[in-house]
Amino acid sequence: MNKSEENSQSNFLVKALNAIDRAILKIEEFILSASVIIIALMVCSNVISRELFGPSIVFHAEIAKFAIIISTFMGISYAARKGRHISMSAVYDTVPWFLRKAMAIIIPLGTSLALFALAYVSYNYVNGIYETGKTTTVLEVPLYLMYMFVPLGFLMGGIQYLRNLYVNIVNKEVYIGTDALDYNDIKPEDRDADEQMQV
Amino acid sequence: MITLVLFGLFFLLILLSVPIAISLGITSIVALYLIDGTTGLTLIGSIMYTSISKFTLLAIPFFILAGVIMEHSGISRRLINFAQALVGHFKSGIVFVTVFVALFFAAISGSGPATVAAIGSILIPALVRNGYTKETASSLVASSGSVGIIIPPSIAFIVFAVVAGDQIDVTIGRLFIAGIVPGVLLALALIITTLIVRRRNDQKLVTNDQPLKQERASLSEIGKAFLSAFWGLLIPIIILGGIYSGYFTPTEAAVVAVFYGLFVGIVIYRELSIKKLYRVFVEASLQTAVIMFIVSAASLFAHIITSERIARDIADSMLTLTENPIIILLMINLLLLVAGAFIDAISAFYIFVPIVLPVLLFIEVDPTVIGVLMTVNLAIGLFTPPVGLNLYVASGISGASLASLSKSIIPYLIASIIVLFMITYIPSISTFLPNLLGID
Repeated sequence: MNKSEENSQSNFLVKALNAIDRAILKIEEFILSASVIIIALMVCSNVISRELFGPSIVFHAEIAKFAIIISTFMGISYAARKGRHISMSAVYDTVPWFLRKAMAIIIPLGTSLALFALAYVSYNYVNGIYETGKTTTVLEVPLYLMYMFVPLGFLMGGIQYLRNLYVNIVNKEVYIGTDALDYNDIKPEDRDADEQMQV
Repeated sequence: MITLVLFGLFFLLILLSVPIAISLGITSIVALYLIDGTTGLTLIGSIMYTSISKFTLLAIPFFILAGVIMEHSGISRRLINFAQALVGHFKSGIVFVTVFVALFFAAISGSGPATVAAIGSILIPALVRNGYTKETASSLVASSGSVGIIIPPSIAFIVFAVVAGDQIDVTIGRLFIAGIVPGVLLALALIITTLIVRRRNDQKLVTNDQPLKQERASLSEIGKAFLSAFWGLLIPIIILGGIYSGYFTPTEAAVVAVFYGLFVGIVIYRELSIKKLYRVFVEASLQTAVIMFIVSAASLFAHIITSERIARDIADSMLTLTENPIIILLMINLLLLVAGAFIDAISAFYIFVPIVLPVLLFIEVDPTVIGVLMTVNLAIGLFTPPVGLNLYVASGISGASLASLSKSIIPYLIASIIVLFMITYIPSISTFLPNLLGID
């Protein structure tokens, strides 16, 4: 195989991975926004139902809980990608560049390991629920379907932090997320208030 | 031993800039493993799931969403214009505008940093144009935004009610009303502080820009600004009115606020396009995920603190030191102020409520006062260096360094701590309004 063929193959692989990454990003955004909309619709329709017709919608709480679980745990990796998980960065901000770079490699590594550990123990828990065959009270949906987003979210978060680690290894700049350059490396005039908004 | 591992490892990870939720998670995994081996780890999935599937906590995503909608639909800009029309012509009118708008915005989003982000981009440059240094401007906005977690509706009060609900009977509605007077007192303290700081700086040439000498707005201009802001001004009335008239719960009130905000943004102001709306939902759900993940991990941590009697032991050792209520309250304030400087309010509630609640109940502090006291402490933490999330947001907007902000924020910290001690030792500041209105 000659060099140009190798290049085109690696080029194709990079393009394919980027396409997958963009697709995952869009899916995550869709899941996050849809879950918030679903919770809103459930709670709002319950208020209307109660005020106009008397009885509440019995299943609304179950669907709302389901949606909040999805948005919380599926949001872990999206927040990691955007560098938006809240941390106490006072020490990090004061250390010299090379130490910040080292921390930007060590922290995602430790974080991803922790998330994989959480994914493992919560998977075992979900597996236990699956074996019992329990269902939800009102909708009678298998309970494990509600719980499975917990290990899935942790797994996705762990993978995302590994990507954050990779980005920091291959780039000179310090990244706090694959889509987020470290705050200290952005010139004040380039800072976007919206992008910096944290909870 | 477990206590040392739990708190030692947690604060070590926090100092190393590991995300707070992850720090809580790692610490909890290690502690559970040390306590009960692999058997202890089986609890993790269950606790993390059940902690966030409480109906009351559903209010959080919607107060966040209401705040994001308000920011992107032009409501906050119109509020600022209205406030400017009312008091902008006074020498320090812009200070009143900043604090008023921060209070108002906070009454919708319930989040400090969200308030700073929404109003800071407009008001920090306006303060600088009016002759304030960017450090003073950023400090005022950062500290005003912190009042956001005290003024109702407040995410912090919702979390407190959920965490403390096992031990005390305190309603979210009562906490909301109890936060009004302390919130207004804090706001007044911040205004007075800014005026004092301004007077000191007046001798020096602060900026090359000439301070804006705004003309007094005519009645028709005030009327026009009021009509423009009217729909936004109704939001807190709808939220609080709905809760206290019994039409809906705090969670439902938050959802109604969202739909009302969408109606105003899409139909009346016509500033929310479908594309913008999608970004609003993504931003709100991202903020929600970050907060709820902290709630989930903090619940795990809190479970260990309570099940291993760590909270009880710390509470007992505090009471063996002294049973003097004045000293105990002082100790708890110091503990919470220090904690608030390092961790966010939600984590702090889960970690410290199990510890301080039994102590405060022992010295017969009103449960409502406990909620307000803890929230005010943690609100101050939002603009206390080194963590102060609000400082980071304000610094990002103004371009002022965190080092310079850490100096300029000191007068605001002192003023806020004075108010904190008033709230601590004069409990009627918190209980007066709910008692007057007969809210249980």
